[in-house]
Amino acid sequence: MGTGLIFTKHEKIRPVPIFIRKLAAGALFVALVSTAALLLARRAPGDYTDTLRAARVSSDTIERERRRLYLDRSLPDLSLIWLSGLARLDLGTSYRFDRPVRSLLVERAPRTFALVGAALVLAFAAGIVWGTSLARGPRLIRAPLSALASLSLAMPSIVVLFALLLVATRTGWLGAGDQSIVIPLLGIAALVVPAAAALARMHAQALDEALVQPWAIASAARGVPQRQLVWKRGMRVAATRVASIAPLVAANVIGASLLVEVVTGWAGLGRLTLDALVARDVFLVAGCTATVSAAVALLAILSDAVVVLLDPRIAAHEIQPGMISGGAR
Amino acid sequence: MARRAGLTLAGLLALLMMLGDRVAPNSAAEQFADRAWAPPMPLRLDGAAVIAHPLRMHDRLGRTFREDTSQRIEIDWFSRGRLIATRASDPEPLLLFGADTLGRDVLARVAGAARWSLGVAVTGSLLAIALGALFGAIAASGSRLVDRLVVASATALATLPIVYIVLTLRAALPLVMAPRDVFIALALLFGIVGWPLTARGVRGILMRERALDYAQAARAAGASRLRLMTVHLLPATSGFLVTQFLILVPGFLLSEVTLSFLGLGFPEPTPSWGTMLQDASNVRVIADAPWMLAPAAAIAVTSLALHLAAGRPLLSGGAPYTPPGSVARGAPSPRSASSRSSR
Amino acid sequence: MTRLLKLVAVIAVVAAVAVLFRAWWQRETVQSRDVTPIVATLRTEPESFNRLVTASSAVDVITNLIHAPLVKVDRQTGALMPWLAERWEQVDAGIEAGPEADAEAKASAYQPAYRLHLRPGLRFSDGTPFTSADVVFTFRALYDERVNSALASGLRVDGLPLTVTAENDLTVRVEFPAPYGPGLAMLDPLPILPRHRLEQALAEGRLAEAWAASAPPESIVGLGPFVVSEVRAGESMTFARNPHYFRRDDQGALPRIDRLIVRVVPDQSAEMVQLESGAADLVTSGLRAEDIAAFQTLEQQGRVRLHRVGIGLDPNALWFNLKAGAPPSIDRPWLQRRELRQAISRAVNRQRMIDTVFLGEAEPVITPVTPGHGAWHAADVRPPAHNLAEAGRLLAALGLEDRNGDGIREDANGREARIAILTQRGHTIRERMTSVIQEDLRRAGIAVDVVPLEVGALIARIGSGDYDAVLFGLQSSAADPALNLDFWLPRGAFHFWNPAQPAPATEWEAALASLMDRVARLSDQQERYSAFHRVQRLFAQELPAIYFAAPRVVFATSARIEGIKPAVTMPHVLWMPDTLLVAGR
Repeated sequence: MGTGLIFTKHEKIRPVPIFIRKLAAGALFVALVSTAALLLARRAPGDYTDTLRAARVSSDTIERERRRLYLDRSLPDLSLIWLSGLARLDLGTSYRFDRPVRSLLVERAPRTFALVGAALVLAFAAGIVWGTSLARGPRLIRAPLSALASLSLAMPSIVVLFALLLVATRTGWLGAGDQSIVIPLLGIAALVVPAAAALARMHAQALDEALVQPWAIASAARGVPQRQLVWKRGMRVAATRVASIAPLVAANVIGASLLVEVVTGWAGLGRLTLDALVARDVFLVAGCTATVSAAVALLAILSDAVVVLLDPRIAAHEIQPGMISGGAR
Repeated sequence: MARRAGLTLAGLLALLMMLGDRVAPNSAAEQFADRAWAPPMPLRLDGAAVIAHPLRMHDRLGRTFREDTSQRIEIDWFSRGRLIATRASDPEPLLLFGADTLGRDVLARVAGAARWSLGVAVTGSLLAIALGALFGAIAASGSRLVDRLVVASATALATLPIVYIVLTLRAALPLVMAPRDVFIALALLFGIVGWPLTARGVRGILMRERALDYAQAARAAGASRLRLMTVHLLPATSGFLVTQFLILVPGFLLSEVTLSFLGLGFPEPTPSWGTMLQDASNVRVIADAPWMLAPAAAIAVTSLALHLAAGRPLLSGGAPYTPPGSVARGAPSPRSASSRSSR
Repeated sequence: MTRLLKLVAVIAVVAAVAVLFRAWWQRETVQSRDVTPIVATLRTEPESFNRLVTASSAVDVITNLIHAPLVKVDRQTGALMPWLAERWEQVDAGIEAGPEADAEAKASAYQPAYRLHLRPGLRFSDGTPFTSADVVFTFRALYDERVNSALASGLRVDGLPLTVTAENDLTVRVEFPAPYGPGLAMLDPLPILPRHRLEQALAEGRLAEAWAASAPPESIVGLGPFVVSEVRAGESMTFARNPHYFRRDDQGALPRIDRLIVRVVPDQSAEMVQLESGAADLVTSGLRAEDIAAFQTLEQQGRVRLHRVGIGLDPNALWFNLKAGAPPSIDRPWLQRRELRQAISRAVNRQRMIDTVFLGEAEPVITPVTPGHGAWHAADVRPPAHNLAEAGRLLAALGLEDRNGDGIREDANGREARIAILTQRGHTIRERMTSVIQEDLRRAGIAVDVVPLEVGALIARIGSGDYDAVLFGLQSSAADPALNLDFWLPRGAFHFWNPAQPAPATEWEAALASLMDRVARLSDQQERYSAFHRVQRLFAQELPAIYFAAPRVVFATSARIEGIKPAVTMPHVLWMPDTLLVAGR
C-alpha cells in the first residue's frame, strides 16, 4: 500500500499471542463482573422462594426447589457453581422463567444485539459522513452541522425517543404503519442520534489533525487531489481514532438501549435484566451481566484489532495488556 | 460564547434545584379537581398586567377544555414565598405547563423534581469527585496497591455501561425505600461508580506535575509529602475536577431517570423526572397531552447546558473521551488553523 | 475506483443492517403470511396449565381455551348451559329425614343430587375417549389434600365436598352435602382433567408439577377448543385447533379458527397500542377512560368495535391487614380499627376520583356489589358523602391528632399516622386510584407511602400477611354471590383482609357467615336477594374493605373478529373462545 512510503516501517509485530492474552483477560473480566452481580443479587433482600411460599406450595416442595436452585448454598459455593458452569457455558436455571438461563439468553440477547448493532452500524456510517462534512464540507453547511452535532451530542437517547414518538403521533405515522415495526425503528433512531454526533465530532477532529501532518502536506504538494486526501488517506488515520473509541460508544449505546427497550416494548436483554433483578433471579442476573460484559469485552478486543490493522505504527504490544483498551487509553 | 451560555444555564438550573416547586404557583403534590389532563394556560397581557383565564372542562371523556374569558387570574411575582404566584383570594389554579393525569401542576412537578433528580446527580458527582481526588492523590503518592486499584477499576468501569452497573447495585438494595433513603443510596452509588475515572485523571495530572520544576523546588525546600500534595499539587487538578464534575452530572442524571422510570428510584408522590417520564410513556399521553413530556425537555436542557459548560465533547452517558493515540495526545486542537491553511 | 468503493461500502452497511434484523423480520413475515391467527394479549404469564393448582386470571383464560367444564354459566344471561354434560336431572338424595322430623329440619337435611348425562363419543385432544372416570378423577384431584387446590374451597358446601360417583361410562351422580342455591352452576370453573395423563402424578403427589408452565406442550391434554402448540416463556403462547373438540354450530365443527396466539404484554399502554394498530385483536382488560375517545374515532373508521357492557362487577378495593397480631398492627393498633376505615371512606372524595381516574365513567360504590349485579345489588347501600370534618372526628377518636402542626396526625406516642399502601405496578387505574387516595388522606392528615409492586411480588406480600394496606382487585366471574363464597366466608381463601379463618374472628363476621349461608342454601330467589342485601348493609357498616368506584366496562376488539359474546366480567371475550372467527373467511 502507498502508505508504506510515508509511515516508517516498524519491526514485524506478532499480534497473535497478545490477542490471546487479551482474550484471556476478557474472559477474566466477564467472570469477575458476572460473579460480582451473582453475589449482589443473592445478598439482596428477598428471595425467589418467597413467591412460592405465598402460592401455597408445600414446604417440602420449597425445600426441594431451594436445593435444585442452589439457594441453600453459601456464597463461595454459589460462586464456584456459577464459575464452573460459566466455563462450560452452562449458566444454570432461571427461577422466574423455570428455564435454562442459556436458552433465555439465546432468545433475548440477539434482539438487543440487533437493536444495538443496527444503531451502531448506522451511527458509524452517519458519523463518518457527518464528521467529514464537519471537517471538510462546504463552509455554508459546516456551521449548522456543527451546531446540530453539539445539540445531538447532548441529547440522551430517551429524550430523542420521546421527541420522535411525539413527532410520530402528531404526523400520524404511528397510525399508518405497523407499530411493531415503526416503534423499534424509532428506538434505533433514538440510539443513533447521540452516538453518531459523538463519532462525527471525533472523526472531524481526527481528520483535522491528520491533514496538517507532514505527510498530508507533502501529499498535497505532490498534487494528490484534496478529495482523495480526505477520503482515502485521512480516512485511514481518522478511522483508527474512531475505531479506538468504538467500545466506549458501544457501552453508551448498550446503556441507553435499556430504557429504549422498555419504552418500545422490545423484549431484549434490558427488560430481561430488569425482570431478573427484581425477581432476585440470581443465575439469570449473572447470565445477563456475563452477556453484556462479554459483548463489551469482545468489542474492545475487536477495536484493538482494527486499530492495529489500520495503523501499523501502533504495535499490538503497545496496547495496554489490561482487560480493555480502546477509548479508555 | 457557547460555554458562557452553558454556564449561565447551569447556574439557572442550580437555582431551580434549590428553589424546587417554589418557582411555580402551586405545590407539586396538589391534585386539582376537574383539572386532570388540562392543557397549559396561555398568559395574556391585559394592559400592563399579565393575566390568564381559567379553564373550564368542556368534555370530560374527550378531555377538552375551554378558556373562560369572563374571569381572570392575576399573576403576582415573588409573593407568598413563590416566584410566580396567584392572588391568595383566587380559587382558580394557574397551570402554566398544564396538568398531569391526576390534575397536578406539571410546572410545579418539573421544578420540584429538579430538587430530587438533579440534586441526587449533583450530590453523587460531588462525592465521586471528592473520592476521586483522594484516591488519585494516594495513587500518585506512591501507594502501588491503590494505584493498581485505580487503574483497574477505571478501565473496567469505562467499558461497562454505567446504567447497568447502577441498576445492578441499586437492585441489591430493598426495592422499595423512602425518598430520603433513595436519595442517600443513589448518591452513594454514584460516588462509588464515579470515582475511579476521576482518580485516574487526577493521578495522571499529579504525576506530570510532580516532575515539574516548582514541585521539585518545593520538595527541595523540605515540604512534606502531604503538604506537597495538598498545597502545591492538588490545586493543579482543579480545572480537571470542574470539567469532570460537569461531565459526571448528566450521566448520573440519566441513571436516576432510568432507575425512576423502571420503578427503582423515587416513589410517588415525590416528583422526579424519571417517574414523570414514566407516566408520560404511553402513546395516548404523548398524542393527547404532549405537555406531560416537560420532564424530557428538562433533561434535554440540563444535558445541553452541562455539555456546553464543559466546553468539550463528551459522550452522553457521562464518560469523557480523551483523544487517544500517541499522535494527538496533549496537542491542542488545530482545527481553526488547519481548515484555513489547507485550502 | 473511489466511487465503486463507496458503493461497496454503502451496500455493505445496508446488508449489515438487513442481516442484523433478519431474525426479527422473518418472524414478522412468517406471521403475516400465515392465515392471520387471532392475537389476544394477557398481562401476565400463566403460572401453570392446571386450574386446580393455580388460581390467577391468566390461568383462568388459558383454562377456557384448552379445557372444558361439565356445565358452563352463560356470562351474558347467567343461565346454565349444557357443556360436557348434555343434560341432567335432579334425583332423590336417598337420605331421608325421619317421618317425625318437622318441615324445617326436613329441608335442611335434604341433600340435593343430580344425575349428569355426558355427551357420548367425546375425545380428549390426544384422541383418548372421555368417560365418567375422568370426571370422578377430576373431583378426586380437586379434593386431594396434597394438591391443596385453589378451587377446592369454592366447590364445597358448608366445607364439605360434593360426592361424585360414576353410574356408568356416560353418567355421573353429583350429590351435594347440603342445599345449595346456585346448584350445578358451582361446577362452571372446574375443568375436567384427563385421568390417563395425570393419574400417576396425582398418586405420587406431584400434580402441581405435572402441568407447570414449562411442561412440554404435547403433554397438556384437554377437552377445550384449543391445544397448546408452542410456548415462548415470557413472550407468547400459540394455540392450535383441537381436532377432537365436541362443539359444532350450524356451519360445522368449532372452533372456526386454526390458530390463536396469546401474547404476554405486561404493560397496559403497550396492550392498547397493539389493539389500536391491529397487532392484537383482543386485549385482556377493558379500555381505560382516556382511551375511549380515541377508540370511538377508530370505531367510526371501522377499525375496531366497541362493546359497552355495563357497570363492572369487580371494583378495586382498599383493604387493611386485619389478621389478629399482624406485624404492622403491633405498634400501630389503630390500623385495624373500624373507625380508620370509616374515616378513609369519608375522606376520599369518590366523585373526584371518578372524574379524575375514570373521566366520569364510573359509579360510586362502597361494597364490592355494584349496580352491575342487578337484583343482587342493594340500592339503599350507598357510599357516604365526602366529609373531611367527619373523617377528622373519627381519626381524633382513634387518638390520631396533629400534635406538632406539620399537617400530619400523630398518635399518643408522637408516632406519625403513616400507612404504606401496596398496589400493582403498571396497572394505571390502580396506581392512579392510590395516588388520589394518597392526596385525599394527606388532606385528612394521614401520610401514605405508595409501594408499587410487580403483581407476583404483590400477591406474595398479601399471602405472607406482611403489609399495612393493599389496593387491588379480585375478579369475580359471576353475579351470584354464592359462587363467590371464597370471598364472602371468613374461612375462604379470598376473604383477603383475614383469609382462611378457622372460625369467624369477629362477631360481625360470624353474622356475615350465617347470612351468606342463607344466600347459599336458600332456593327461593327473592329470599336470597334479601339476605344478600343484608350482607351488603353489614359490609358497608364494618367496611373490612373500602370500595370507591365501579367503572363502566367498555372494551374494544378489532373489527375483523366476529362471533364475540361480550361479557361484563373478565375475560370479556375469551370466556367463550370457540365461536370466534375472522370476518370474511
